[in-house]
Amino acid sequence: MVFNSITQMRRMPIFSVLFLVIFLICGIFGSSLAPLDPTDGDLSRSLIPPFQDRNYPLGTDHLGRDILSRIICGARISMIVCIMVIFFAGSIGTVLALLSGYIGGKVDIIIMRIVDTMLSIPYMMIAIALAAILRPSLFNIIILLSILGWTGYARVIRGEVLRIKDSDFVKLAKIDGCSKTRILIHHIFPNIVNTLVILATLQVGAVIIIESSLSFLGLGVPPPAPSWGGMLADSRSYISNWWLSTFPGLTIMATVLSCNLLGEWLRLQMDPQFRQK
Amino acid sequence: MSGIILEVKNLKKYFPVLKGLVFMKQIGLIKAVDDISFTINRGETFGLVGESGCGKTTTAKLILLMEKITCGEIVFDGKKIDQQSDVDLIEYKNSVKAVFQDPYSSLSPRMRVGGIIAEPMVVSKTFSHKEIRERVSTLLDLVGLHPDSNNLYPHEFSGGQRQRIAVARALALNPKLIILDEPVSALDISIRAQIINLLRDLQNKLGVTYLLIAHDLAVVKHMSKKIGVMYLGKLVEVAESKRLYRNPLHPYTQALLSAALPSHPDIRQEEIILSGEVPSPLNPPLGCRFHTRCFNAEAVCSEEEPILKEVEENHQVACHLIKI
Ligand SMILES: Nc1ncnc2c1ncn2[C@@H]1O[C@H](COP(=O)(O)OP(=O)(O)OP(=O)(O)O)[C@@H](O)[C@H]1O
Ligand SMILES: [Mg+2]
Repeated sequence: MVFNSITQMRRMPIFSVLFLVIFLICGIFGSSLAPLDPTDGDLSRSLIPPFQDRNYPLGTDHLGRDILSRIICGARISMIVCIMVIFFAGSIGTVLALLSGYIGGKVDIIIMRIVDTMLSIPYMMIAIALAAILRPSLFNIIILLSILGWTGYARVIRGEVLRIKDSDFVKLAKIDGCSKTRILIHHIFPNIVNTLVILATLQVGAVIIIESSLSFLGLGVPPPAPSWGGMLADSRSYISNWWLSTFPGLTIMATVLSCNLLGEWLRLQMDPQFRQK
Repeated sequence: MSGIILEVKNLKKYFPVLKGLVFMKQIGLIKAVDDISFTINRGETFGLVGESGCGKTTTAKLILLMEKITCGEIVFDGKKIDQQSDVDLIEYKNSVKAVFQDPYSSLSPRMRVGGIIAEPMVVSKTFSHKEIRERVSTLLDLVGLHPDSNNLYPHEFSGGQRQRIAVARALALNPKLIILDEPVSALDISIRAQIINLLRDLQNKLGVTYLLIAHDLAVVKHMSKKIGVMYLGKLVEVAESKRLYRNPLHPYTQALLSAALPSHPDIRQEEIILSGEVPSPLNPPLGCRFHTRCFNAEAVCSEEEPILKEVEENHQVACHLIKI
């Protein structure tokens, strides 16, 4: 449906797609793809610079672990966190925004005050506070980021719902006897999907960065499990050994960038008005 | 079958003006529609004209039950419409449909044309899939669109074509009355005549009744049997279309008519320019609402409110200066 012409394919950000495919493959098959065991350390081969030893193409870290293998396996954590957080935060945010915008009244006031309250506290601060209370684990990170992430969806999508609710096609649907549920599902929801996709792709970037930041602060997924943020954290004391921080950093950057570019392309594809051009 | 299909009796809609955040206090009333009565005959077109803000759309919304009626009655096909009882309403809602002004906002951008037209039938649950599909192509044909249009999205159509889709949807359940709220105002001048002709053809074919709302008389002229002129929530003149054009009695109607383009360029007509602004419906002038702008107002006009009375057959005016 989306890929129905050559022109559209041509505009597809091919590098982003390629990179994200690699990211997903690494995320799913990471441990069997990695050339070496990402947790297997040996101090005798610590801090080997990249491009010098054929066994360690991107070098080794301070414990002698292979950086390439750790990056490949680290993709899994980022991927799981992203998918789960986008799913939970997106669902919670969308449902609450639909209720808030469509029902209005007290429901709207209550939901939006909660959103305002959460948005008024710096994101990282709540994250750090909650992460400190909850035991650091993959599950807790997902819960935490979902609790934090839904407000963005709720705020933006509520605005869209309010706009769409007022349009004539919704009024006509009411005249024609459509139920509230039908209007929400058939008239309002399809018209916010665009926004939802954009928000979700933007959130991929945000989630990866926050997850990395939490790991960087030691509040993320606990070691020795390889995670990109954790790798950055470890590299703090080894600034002169640039490869420890550069490779995970570049990976994070490339992933976030790819998601945003792909999201932008998808947004255009999903908009019927742009599909033709 | 002729006779009255819709009768509106003393219809009023007052919007409260609220102030304050938590404890909303009512500080006034907008009298958007203030005591209007008219009847529409079956199979005919009733034109409702008036300046922007005079309450035409509000009247339409009241008839469509989109707003709660403050006061007054709607009698449809001999039955009084009760906004509370759900049972009778379904039939009423299926018989009264609407086409709105903006063809861009009245079609859901994410729904295919087929789905848009079919929706009233889908919701009414009395049609099978096959019937719906057949009816959609009949309707597309009826409004002059290609049958393949049903798989396309609204953005692939021009404004005029979109309005045709909107009309097709309105016709889906074979309604008795269609409310056309400025159906051509948003369209290109060159397209207007096409849509007006389409609507007229459909009326001839299907015998459907129209309530045609417009802010200039030119559009209404060619279609309406009867015309009601509104000013600030009140009907000031109701007459048969021909009579109204030949012999406009209310000064406001005269001004409206003189502002419309003459039907022939050689015809010279004096244009009556009204002074002043339309007063706010929040506190309309006492007496005749039009007296602040009327060119031959007298003392009585600012004191007493004129009522709509019949001055000749099928011609009602609300003006003190018209003596029978
Ligand atoms: N929901 C509402 N709440 C408060 N006031 C309203 C509301 N809807 C309409 N009004 C007021 O009622 C008056 C009549 O509005 P209405 O939309 O019926 O005018 P109209 O004749 O359709 O004008 P137009 O030609 O611009 O469409 C206006 O003064 C408007 O401000
Ligand atoms: Mg209007």
